[in-house]
Amino acid sequence: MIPDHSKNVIEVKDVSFAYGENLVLKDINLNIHKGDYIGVVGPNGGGKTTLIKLILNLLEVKKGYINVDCKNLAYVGQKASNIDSKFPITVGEVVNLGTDKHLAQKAMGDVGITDLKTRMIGTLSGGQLQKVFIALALAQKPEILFLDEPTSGIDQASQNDFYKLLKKLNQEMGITLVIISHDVDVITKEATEIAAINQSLVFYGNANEFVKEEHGIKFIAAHHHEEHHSTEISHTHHD
Amino acid sequence: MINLFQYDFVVRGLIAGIIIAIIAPIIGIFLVLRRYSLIADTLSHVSLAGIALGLLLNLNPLLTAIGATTLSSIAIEKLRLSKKVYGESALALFLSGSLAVAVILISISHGFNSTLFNYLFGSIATVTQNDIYTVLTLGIVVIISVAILYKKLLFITFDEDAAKVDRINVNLINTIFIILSAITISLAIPIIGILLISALLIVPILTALQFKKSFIPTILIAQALSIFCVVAGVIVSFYFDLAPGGTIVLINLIVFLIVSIF
Repeated sequence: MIPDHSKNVIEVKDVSFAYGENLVLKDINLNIHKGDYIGVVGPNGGGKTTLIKLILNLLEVKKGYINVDCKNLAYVGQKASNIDSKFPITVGEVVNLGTDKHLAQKAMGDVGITDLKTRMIGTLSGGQLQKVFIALALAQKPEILFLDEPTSGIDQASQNDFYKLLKKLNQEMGITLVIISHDVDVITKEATEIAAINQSLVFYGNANEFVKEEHGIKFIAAHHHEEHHSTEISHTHHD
Repeated sequence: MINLFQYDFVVRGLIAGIIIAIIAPIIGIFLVLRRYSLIADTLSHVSLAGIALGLLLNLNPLLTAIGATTLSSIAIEKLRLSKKVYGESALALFLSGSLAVAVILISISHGFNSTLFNYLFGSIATVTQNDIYTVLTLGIVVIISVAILYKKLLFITFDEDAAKVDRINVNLINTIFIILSAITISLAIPIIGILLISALLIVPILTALQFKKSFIPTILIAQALSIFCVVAGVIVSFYFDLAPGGTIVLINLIVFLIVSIF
């Protein structure tokens, strides 16, 4: 399926948002086209998740407007990294939540988790869990799929596997992808467009351009610093 | 030894208890997984006000309790959604507020102490034939409603944001669910007593979760355990002359301990 990249599926116009007095987003203007693969990057607290939640109508737009011109959206939140491992549910039951059995079966096949169908979700690895959430989203036949930090807490091999799956969803199934990621290096390689948000939209365009741009360098440099820091922390957790 | 089944009130108590044991886990599992366990306590205190009002006005206390808990549950949900107060604070407001109303109603009427005592701690002797019909009818309403909403409720419980994005009317379903909880809690009052109701909704589910089965099997295990505990509790309390509500809850806790150890 070749998506019509000229078709505007989401229009974000002059959107600002504050939690109480705390301004999180300021004058955001952004168009998402059918078939795009957008990486959303920016510092913690920069407003990435807030913007996605506004688009998904999980938060109310109070200033500006957002127009969504497509039937089905699906959202994979940060749930997978802090899943309740005691939740009494199997993989098959999870994927079946928003759909019928036939679509659930197909979604599990597309993601490659059919063999996990009867496993309890509490017994899965981070990478497997994330695929379950993708299958749940896919079973809703989305035109646009939003993912919030999908690779956090997943090992390197599973991450590569996961990005391959995302590429398949985008290129073969024509699903528009919007992915929030802290991993600026990886997402600039994987996504075709980058939206860098730090309260305002500091960059929005081709991923290759972003790497060359001043903002991109700053983001990547900041990310490396952060990564170094988090490595130190994770060392202290190893026993 | 006296045959306890020769007493009609014991049989009535057992029938009502078994119906409650079947319904309570269906509601309880969603309360536990959504971290709503405290709602059961709040609504049971609200039901005390409803019962006091019923006794004062000479109406069926079970029905006034259902009325009070249903209205309050809708108000709690509205207050929670308005975000004017924190979720648990909304519960605290209703818990203390309804207790205050109950205490005032009790003081106005001076009388009904022994009847009220039965409602506070549960007594199978308070279960009338009419209560059984009410418990059975509303029990069926609860089971059918949850069966219809099952998938949506489960989706909301598992991932509320994803459910909203999938265009599930989360607010409506949450409101219906909290009304069903209110009905269930009111129904359980004659058997288990106001002060111990939340245990019947929560403990069997906590025990069943230890078996690490999927959703429906967890509910079925909780129902089986709950029926066992109610029947055992009624029998033990009859022969040893104990309060049935407390006995049923203690047996539930013992079963929980045994299962979590092994």
